[in-house]
Amino acid sequence: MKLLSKIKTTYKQSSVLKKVIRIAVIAVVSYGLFSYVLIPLRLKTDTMAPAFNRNGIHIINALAYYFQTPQIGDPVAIKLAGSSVIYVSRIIGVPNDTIKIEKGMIFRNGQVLEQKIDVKFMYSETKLSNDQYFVLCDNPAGDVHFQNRKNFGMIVFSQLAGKLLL
Amino acid sequence: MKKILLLIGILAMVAFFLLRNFFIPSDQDRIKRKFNQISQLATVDKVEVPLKRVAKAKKLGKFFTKEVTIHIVTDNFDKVVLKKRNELESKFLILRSKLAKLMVTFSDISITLQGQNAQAHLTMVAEGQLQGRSEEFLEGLELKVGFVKVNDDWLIEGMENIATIK
Repeated sequence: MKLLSKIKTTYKQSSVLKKVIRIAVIAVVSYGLFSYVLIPLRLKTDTMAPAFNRNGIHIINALAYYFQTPQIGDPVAIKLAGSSVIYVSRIIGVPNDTIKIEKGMIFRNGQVLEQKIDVKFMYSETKLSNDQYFVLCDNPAGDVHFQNRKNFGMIVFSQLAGKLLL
Repeated sequence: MKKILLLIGILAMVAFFLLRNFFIPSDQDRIKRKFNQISQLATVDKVEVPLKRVAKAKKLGKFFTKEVTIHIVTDNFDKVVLKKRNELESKFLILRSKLAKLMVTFSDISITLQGQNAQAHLTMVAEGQLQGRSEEFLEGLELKVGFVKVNDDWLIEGMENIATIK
């Protein structure tokens, strides 16, 4: 009888231990996954509307550029001092491209892109180096402050925090 | 006996933690604490009476050396180039008098110590609203902040923003 009671107690303890371990593993995996791989993000401006709306929760795939290079049209997250606060923009120029913005038109390697931009934005012809990308918000006017220079311009690869998933 | 030793060990660790973080903080911790204090002082949650505004501007001024170089260029705000603490206090006062609300947060702070000097690299986010305006502003800045140790206190001697997208 005593032995049976002891087995029951041991079984209960191991069951509780298993649950604790399971919860701990889930917590660690979730923390790792949502801190370093699929990072949630809340947008605070309309600069990427309508594809990514203000106050919407989106996910950054932080590993996207470990396996492939950034492509034209990719919505990307750009780091500031770290990854707590980021800018979101879209790649319109890749290394060795030539970019120019003039009279509301964007030129990539001499070809006019479909995307238009306010005539106030100007960017003299610039050739991107091997590590540089040119980014532009979908809707620069969606910012509270219209003529915001940080809505377009050059970044380097190391500034990319990842690719935005819808 | 084992339990007592374990208890003593835990108490020693707690005491070490408290001592390390609250009673003998490292220079990095002290500098990070400065940013928390600045954040609290800079916050405006309602339109302030002039006397309170002056007191807060003076208190904020005490975080800086008498000769300080501030160089902030953004598109949302006027270019700010200051060289004296009293100029800075006046600027704080003018800014506060225009604000209906403001929340300043600092994140991703990394600090490099060089003897009696330190350099902090961080992201500052300012969210707020001007008096008489319905729209809110949002500004994220990547900053480099220089500190110097004066009478065992870390004071800001220089500050400049880095253009994330060039």
